[in-house]
Amino acid sequence: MEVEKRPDLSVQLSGIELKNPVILASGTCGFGEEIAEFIDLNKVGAIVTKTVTLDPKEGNPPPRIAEVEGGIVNSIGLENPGVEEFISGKLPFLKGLQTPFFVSISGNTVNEFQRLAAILDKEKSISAVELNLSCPNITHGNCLFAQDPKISYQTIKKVKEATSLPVIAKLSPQVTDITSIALACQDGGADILCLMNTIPALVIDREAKRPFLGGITGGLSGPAIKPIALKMVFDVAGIISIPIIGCGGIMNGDDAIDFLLTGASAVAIGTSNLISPDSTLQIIEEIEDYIIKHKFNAIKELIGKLELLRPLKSQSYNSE
Amino acid sequence: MLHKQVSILNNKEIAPGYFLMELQSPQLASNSSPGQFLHIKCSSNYSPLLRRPLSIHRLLYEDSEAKGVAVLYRVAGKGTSYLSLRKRGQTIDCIGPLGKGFELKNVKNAIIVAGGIGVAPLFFLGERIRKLQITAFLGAKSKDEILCIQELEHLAAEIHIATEDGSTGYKGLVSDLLESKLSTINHQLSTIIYACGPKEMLRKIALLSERYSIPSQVSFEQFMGCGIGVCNACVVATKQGYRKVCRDGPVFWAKEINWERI
Repeated sequence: MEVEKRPDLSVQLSGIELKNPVILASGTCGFGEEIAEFIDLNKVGAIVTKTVTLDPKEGNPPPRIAEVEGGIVNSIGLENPGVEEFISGKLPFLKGLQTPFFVSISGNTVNEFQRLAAILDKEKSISAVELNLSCPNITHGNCLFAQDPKISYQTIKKVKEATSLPVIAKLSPQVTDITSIALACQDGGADILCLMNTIPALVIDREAKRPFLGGITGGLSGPAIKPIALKMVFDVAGIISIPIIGCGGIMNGDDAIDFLLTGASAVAIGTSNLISPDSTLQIIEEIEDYIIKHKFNAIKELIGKLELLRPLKSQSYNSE
Repeated sequence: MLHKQVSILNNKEIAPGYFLMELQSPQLASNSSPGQFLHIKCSSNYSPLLRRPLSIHRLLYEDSEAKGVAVLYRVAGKGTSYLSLRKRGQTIDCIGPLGKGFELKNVKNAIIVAGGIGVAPLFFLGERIRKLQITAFLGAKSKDEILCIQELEHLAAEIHIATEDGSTGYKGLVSDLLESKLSTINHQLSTIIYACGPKEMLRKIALLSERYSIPSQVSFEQFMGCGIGVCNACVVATKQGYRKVCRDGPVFWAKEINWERI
């Protein structure tokens, strides 16, 4: 019997080797330990921790989640034990994994982002820091960090000064022009972009005549947002030279393939983990099936291979 | 803990809008304890997207071997509507048993208080502690929704019933009925109140618990995200801050809860 050669699923993200392109997104796998009973974490490409802040955060009042057609709206409010407890209580488990992990961080100021990066820089087991510049449940004045190219640029620059770890910038879809934000992040020194975070959203409790969520507004995730996230990757892929992690509503292998074809070098899976904590393993298998079916040898061969029948009118996509 | 497709042995309407679903799984049966729940995918597509947490209602036996578990649920929305259409012989995607159940140590007398579908986990509890002195209080909107009386008669020394419309038993809330009876119930020795039902009922139980110095275990009915403790969506305010209903609960000591923030 002929032994089938397994395709090469490995990808590289700015020097970080992933055994496959499937990443568990921040906020949907805890700090690894909580989900480990339900999935062999050594089989996924990477995991991103729940966002860590300088001080512990209690999070928003419940209800914190609402189900809507095609998705969920959450308003967790970055509940986390703070960076100190993260290092003493959560990091030891993560260190024991054979899978790279990225630590998601958020600050109220540029300085807080920088201090967090400096603290985490000492922890050599961390593969990257992901700057959560775009949590819709946390506002900085009137806007998110990721809604202002100058602030995004400054934050990344300051973080890069504080750490030698690769830096991922997680961006918001709620912007006028994603390309200007993406370019500002790249200019600031970001090593990787994660596109995208949840979409700001509102759910009403019409019996009580008030917002349903305790945090009033929340972030929409799930299958409904996939085409929007895909369009963001599409807009950005041609104009930047750093790799992109595609994120938004990916529920299966087909969704993941769409992102890879559009130019994402890896994909992050969020909401799907909440439904089935081991759904990423299925997604990895389905990606592999696609590669075999389409006679590729390696996943790298299909990244960015979207074919356009005619050039776009706008300048936002360049097939080079 | 298991995550797999389990076979449906039976799924029948036992009262208008209330279904009993029996699932075949010796593994679930041998690992479940009262108060724990299953997180069930109700449809095979993305609508509804999330699972539904359903309390384990009882164990199923065949020739004195535990062969499965049953869940008792009320059709309340899209998820449970889909679930009610599932037929014997089909399978469902099920994660469980999940959560921290009832504390059973050092109890001699048990007072069980069920509000509506809150009776679901309390029957399993009653079976587990059947050798103890059990007094049961069942409340619902009306007579049709008072469930499991016949089964509970084998377990409880006394059963008290309250309906909001007065169609059977005491007319009013089950928590008020409990209050009126507490002075006459002997609760001197190692008595625990076990309660499951709407938040306002649990709040009243906590109040009575404090007034009569009877420790109470309350089980929260809560919509969840993941059900396994990764998303922090289903939190409840305790005196030590927010705790996850799915992982730290669904059962808590009433005195642990910060009722002002509920």
